[in-house]
Amino acid sequence: MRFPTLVLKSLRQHWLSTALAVVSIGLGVALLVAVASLREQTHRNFVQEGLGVDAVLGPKGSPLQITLNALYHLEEMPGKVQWTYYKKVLGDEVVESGIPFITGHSYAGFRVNALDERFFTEFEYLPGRHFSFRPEDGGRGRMFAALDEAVAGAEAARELRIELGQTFNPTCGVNPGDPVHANDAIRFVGVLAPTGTPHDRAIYISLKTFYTLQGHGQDVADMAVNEEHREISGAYLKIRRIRGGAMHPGIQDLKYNVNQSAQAQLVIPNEVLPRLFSIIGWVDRVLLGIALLVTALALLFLFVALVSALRERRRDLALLRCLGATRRTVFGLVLCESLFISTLGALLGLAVGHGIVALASDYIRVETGLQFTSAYVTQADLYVLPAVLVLGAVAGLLPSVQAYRLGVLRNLTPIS
Amino acid sequence: MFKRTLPFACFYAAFALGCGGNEKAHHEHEGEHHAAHGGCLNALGTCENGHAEAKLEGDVLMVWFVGGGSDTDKAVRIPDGEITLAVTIGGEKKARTLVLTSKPNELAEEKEGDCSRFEGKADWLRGMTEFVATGRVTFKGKPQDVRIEYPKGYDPD
Repeated sequence: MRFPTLVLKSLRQHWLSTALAVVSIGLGVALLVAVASLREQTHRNFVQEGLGVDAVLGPKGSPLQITLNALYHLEEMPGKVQWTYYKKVLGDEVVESGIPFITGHSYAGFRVNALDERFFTEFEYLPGRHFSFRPEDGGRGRMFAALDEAVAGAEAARELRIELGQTFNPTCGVNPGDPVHANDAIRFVGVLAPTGTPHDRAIYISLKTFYTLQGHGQDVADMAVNEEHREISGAYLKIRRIRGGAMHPGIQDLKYNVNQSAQAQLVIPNEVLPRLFSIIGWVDRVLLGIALLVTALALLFLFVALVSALRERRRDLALLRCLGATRRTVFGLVLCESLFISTLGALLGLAVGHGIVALASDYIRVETGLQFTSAYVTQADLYVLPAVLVLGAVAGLLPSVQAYRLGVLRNLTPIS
Repeated sequence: MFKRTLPFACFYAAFALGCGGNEKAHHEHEGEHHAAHGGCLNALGTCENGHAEAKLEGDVLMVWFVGGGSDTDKAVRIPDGEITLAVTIGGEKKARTLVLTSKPNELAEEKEGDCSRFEGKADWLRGMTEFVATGRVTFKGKPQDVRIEYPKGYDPD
């Protein structure tokens, strides 16, 4: 009988413990792979891509709250910024351009943000990438032009089944029970092509539309024409580049100066978001720890399963030796069983792990608009198979040595 | 006995090392003072009270008055319109006089008499690598001695 056949037959003989060992290793590896993938993709989405915004001018309050509100359409803006102050910031030598916005309205669970129409042409949702209405990209219609017109992000349009020409009444607030602008019907004239960013999960109207909503009253309506009284929630700022494409170093002086004012602050998302990860970093370390522990326990289980199987199979192995198998053969047999179980467990874990990421990606996309993919390959994917193989070999070493030392005569004596 | 305890000892050591790394980094970060403009921080009285951040660019000495402790990125406005500094350059016995005038920043909503940034210009500042400057300002409502040790900064603590 060939050696691989011998290994397979032996595994089939104690199939239950083999299957349990494979499943337990698989679960540990799956957890490890899924946590590593979700962790890295979250980090990439929040930190490396920065959603194309160099800086956000916002009111006084938590910089994290401002970033989450301006870029991820979460939380609420802690206040307002005077238009005149925004214009002063715009005049600074390091600021290339700005796109003012107003947040705080919603419709059917999606944020309704008012902003300058240059958002659709100049804003880079990812470095070098602009919004599109082109049908070939997945968009429809056009940007808003009249006061009663709106544009929907791809995800908002998909979930709300928005058709062009359909109208809606925005809610004055983002919380359940907030009043609805019953007399302000706004018509959808465009749907943006999917971007894979949180901007897909919002609805956009013009600043002037916001100021002139009937429900806002005359004071707010005056802001449409009177710049002295005009207020905004904030502005996306584009900073001038220096040689090599790096941001102008003067942004730090600008940030210092703006932050000394009584009404505004400058938030640099790429500085704020890593801080978020340093705060919540322990969560993924705990998850990784649990995953490692599960994998270690699974390998311990493999060790116990091999040792107990060896006890049951002493007579079989002794018989095998009588039939001509060398000590090396029985040593290799037990070790190969361990390696086979480990490999199968690792492969199962990789498949299940990526399956978990696929399920989670869908959920995360619906909830946040962030694009995750099950095809993302992390370092854990690359190292998990060799690592589990090494650990499997270690787990199988002691039972293999025991098999090697097995006394043939002692184990062939009649039991009764 | 040794055979049994060795794997546990290894695991414990690895776990303890893994946990200890961040602890050290955290403590280092706590003690750090950040100069918002890339200059040198000079404590006013004590580090907790406040700082004068000094930066020399060509023949202009810029000084920002900022908070103490970890508030070195928060401006502290002072009512003085001018600050006279006695600047001693290494090797010279006689101090030179440098008058700093307030430079209110519009974005910071500062104005004359309520300003945290000061500048002084002198030809002899150009190319200067090291000096000590002393003076007096009204800081947080009280007269306060200023001591600037350029470029390493001044920290009596």
